[in-house]
Amino acid sequence: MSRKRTREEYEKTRSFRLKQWVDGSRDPFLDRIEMKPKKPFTEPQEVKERREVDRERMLSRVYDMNRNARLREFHRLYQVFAVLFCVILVVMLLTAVSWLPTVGAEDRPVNNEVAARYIENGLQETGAVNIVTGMILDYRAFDTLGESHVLFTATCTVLILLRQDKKRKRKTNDRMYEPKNDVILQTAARVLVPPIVIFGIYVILCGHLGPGGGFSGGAIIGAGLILYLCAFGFEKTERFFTARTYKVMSFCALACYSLSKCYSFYTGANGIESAIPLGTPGAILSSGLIFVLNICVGVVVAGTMYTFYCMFRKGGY
Amino acid sequence: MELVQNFPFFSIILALFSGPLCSILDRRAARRVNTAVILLIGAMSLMVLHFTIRTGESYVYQMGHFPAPWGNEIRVGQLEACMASFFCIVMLLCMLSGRRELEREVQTTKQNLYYVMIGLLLSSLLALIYTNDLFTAYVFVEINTISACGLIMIRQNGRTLEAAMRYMIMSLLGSGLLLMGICFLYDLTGHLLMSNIKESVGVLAASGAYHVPLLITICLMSVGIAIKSALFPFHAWLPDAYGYSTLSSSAILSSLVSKGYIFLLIKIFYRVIGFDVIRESKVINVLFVFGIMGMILGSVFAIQENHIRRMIAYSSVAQIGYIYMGFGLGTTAGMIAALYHILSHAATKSLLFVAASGLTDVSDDRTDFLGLTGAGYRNILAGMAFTAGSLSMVGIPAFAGFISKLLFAQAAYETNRKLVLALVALAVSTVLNAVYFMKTVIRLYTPGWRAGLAVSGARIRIKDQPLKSAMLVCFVILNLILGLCSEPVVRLLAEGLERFA
Amino acid sequence: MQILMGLLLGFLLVCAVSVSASKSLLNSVCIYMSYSLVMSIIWILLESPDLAITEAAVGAGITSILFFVTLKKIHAIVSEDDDLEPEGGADTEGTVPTEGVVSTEKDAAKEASRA
Repeated sequence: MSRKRTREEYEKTRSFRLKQWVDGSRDPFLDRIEMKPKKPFTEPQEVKERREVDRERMLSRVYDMNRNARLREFHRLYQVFAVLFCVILVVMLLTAVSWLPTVGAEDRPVNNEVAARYIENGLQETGAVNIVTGMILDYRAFDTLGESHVLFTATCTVLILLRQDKKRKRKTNDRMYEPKNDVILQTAARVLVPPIVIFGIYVILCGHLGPGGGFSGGAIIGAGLILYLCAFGFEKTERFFTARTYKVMSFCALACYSLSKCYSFYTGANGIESAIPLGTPGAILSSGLIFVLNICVGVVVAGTMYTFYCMFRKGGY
Repeated sequence: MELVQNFPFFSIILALFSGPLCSILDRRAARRVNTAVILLIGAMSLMVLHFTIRTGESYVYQMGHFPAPWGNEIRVGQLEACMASFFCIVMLLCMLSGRRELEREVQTTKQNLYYVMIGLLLSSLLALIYTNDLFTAYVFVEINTISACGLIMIRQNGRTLEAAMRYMIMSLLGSGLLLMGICFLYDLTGHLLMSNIKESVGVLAASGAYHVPLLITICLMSVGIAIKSALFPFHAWLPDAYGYSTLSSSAILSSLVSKGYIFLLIKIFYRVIGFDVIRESKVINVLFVFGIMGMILGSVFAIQENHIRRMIAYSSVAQIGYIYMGFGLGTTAGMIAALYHILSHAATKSLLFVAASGLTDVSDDRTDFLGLTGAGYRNILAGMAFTAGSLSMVGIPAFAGFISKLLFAQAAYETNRKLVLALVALAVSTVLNAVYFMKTVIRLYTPGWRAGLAVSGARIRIKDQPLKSAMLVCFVILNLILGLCSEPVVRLLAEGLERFA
Repeated sequence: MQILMGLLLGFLLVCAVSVSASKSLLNSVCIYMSYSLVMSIIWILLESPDLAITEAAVGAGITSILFFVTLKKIHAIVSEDDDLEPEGGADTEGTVPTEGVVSTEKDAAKEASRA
């Protein structure tokens, strides 16, 4: 039989203090840490108006359901049909999947001679310890060539849409795009960016020896560059990465890829032996062209990621 | 292996390479590189066509040091070479005619990016035509989608951005469904090479195992490609995309991009799943019905339009309905008619867009019909070209459209139950086509003072726009060739289709 | 292992449903980021380390950053020193006061019809 506690006793317990913290009615740091006194959040009237005026206008003109009967009807039909469409698609896909052969069973159609050759002879024929990398860059290199050009096309489309070429005064305040010197961010970036870039380079170079490869490594390097940019601002990054850098980088990498694959496909189709040695598996300089292609793909992907961020943020480099 | 057999591979790699090359050049150099690349690839494709007609069989080109199911391969035959050369010719004509509009409507610093998009679009079309591997087809479908969006977006005003966004979302949905179909097919058969999949699917269909996933796969792939090529219920992105983008973009999009996807669908029907399995699954009946609805409703929407380019875009919806009706007939003759219609529609639709652009040039850039009154007198060549295109669309003999309608009608005779429906739909849509095309032609040749327009005196002679006028003449000649000398073309397509499977 | 896989897949379902059901775009992007992370763990459990590295770098890293930058550009995130006040007023969290957010269309339409 529990005893009912009085309010004062309850207010001394830990669970009440936890409840206050979760609700937000009590700040756990107040009176415990030295800090500047907090002002309640007030926005000056102009800022609030600036933010709200556009929204009001948009709501009243575009989404005005009261005056626009057609929009109202469309809205209701849309909700119904969207749910209906999703349900039908989900049911259809689940039905199809439930009929498929079970994962891991022995007599699946997927375990055929195609997969068998990749697994058994993959190491000898391509020289890559990582069979996946060997497959995407040697057996099915044409698909990877297409995929790299997909990335390149996407970057060009983003450049079409977001790049701002109007000549404006060069002394614009870049602070509009990057925050003030944030000590925490800069310290963390100083510590993190070198390992990230080195790890990315490692993943690219050892793509044929372990998991990874050009795409992952390039994405990691791109992420590292973005962190550097966020912490230190556009001035610092403009010293090494300009528009010209990206153009030269992507052109050289894609040209190198196309030319080496051109040689490889031409010799393969015409029955000529390829002159590129496969090396010993497990060494870093092995597996023929895969090493070079990984670097090309990694360079393209890193440039792509960084370019996306710059275009989204500022419309330029 | 002869040198000429390497040409399809060279074409794809050259087009892929021209993308990054144009991105580092300035706009004039990029334009020259682009034109040179298209010319070169056209010449190479014609040589390949000559080779395949001479040897009379299709060959397989191994991409890499490993033979087919383990590596990639492309397969080159008569039909593929014919399509490739035709696409190159049409693309060259469209690019040359749209040059002036491109310089006027697109920012100077972004023009070289346009040529990048065109180069990559050409490479993806060639790869879709030649490939023998399903996953390679998907990768190049991705390139096709993104570069088509780039083509729409290059002219940056509000309407094109909204059109590009809608196109991107719908097209990505289509790609997603196509990818799901490919994944299911891989799980059911274990192969990605088209010929191997066909054997496995034949075995599966005969034994009756997995018939539910197989049916769902066929549906997913058909719907995915139907969304991307604007079959009737999924055509919502088409009018905005074609109506507001720059001239060479609309011409290339309407003639080539949707046809690339339809060619991929033909390939999937013939080489991946096998036409007998498709016929048993009744999917083509659904495509037939949607094709007929597209034919009629596309024309109905076109009649209601007041903007000339949107009207031509809705007419595209109707023509794509014709092609799907040809699929839906389910016979080889129907397929040949559909293929011929791909060629004739590509030639005619680009002609209509270029002529419409010439007509709006003399009407103060007004695209509504009131402003275009009497434009045929102000720009004689464009007026005549538009008339020729309209007559072809309606189906007057001596033009390409007549031959395709004739082929459709002849193909319909071989089926039993679909005969009446197909003939009635052909007749009704011909009448509807005549309504809006002839209305436009009559309005073009009504003198301006009858509509109350002040005649501005903005006449254009041939020497003011030499390139565009020359291109209009070339388009009309192409149309007449397809219309008058159709026998060899149809024979070429028929033989190619036999060896296609 | 099966239980772990089942838990992770259930979490994926919950994430996917809540991304579309959430009212604030910033919340949706954060949930999407966690979706990517869980997906990356599932790839490891399915023995594909290449996919796991790529998913973690691209999904949980780069695309989420790009989403945040886009949301900032369309003013869907309001931070406390937007008006460059010297002593920033302390917002309890950096996310959105419910008034100023350009949230999903359904929400906006509901508000308009209520108004």
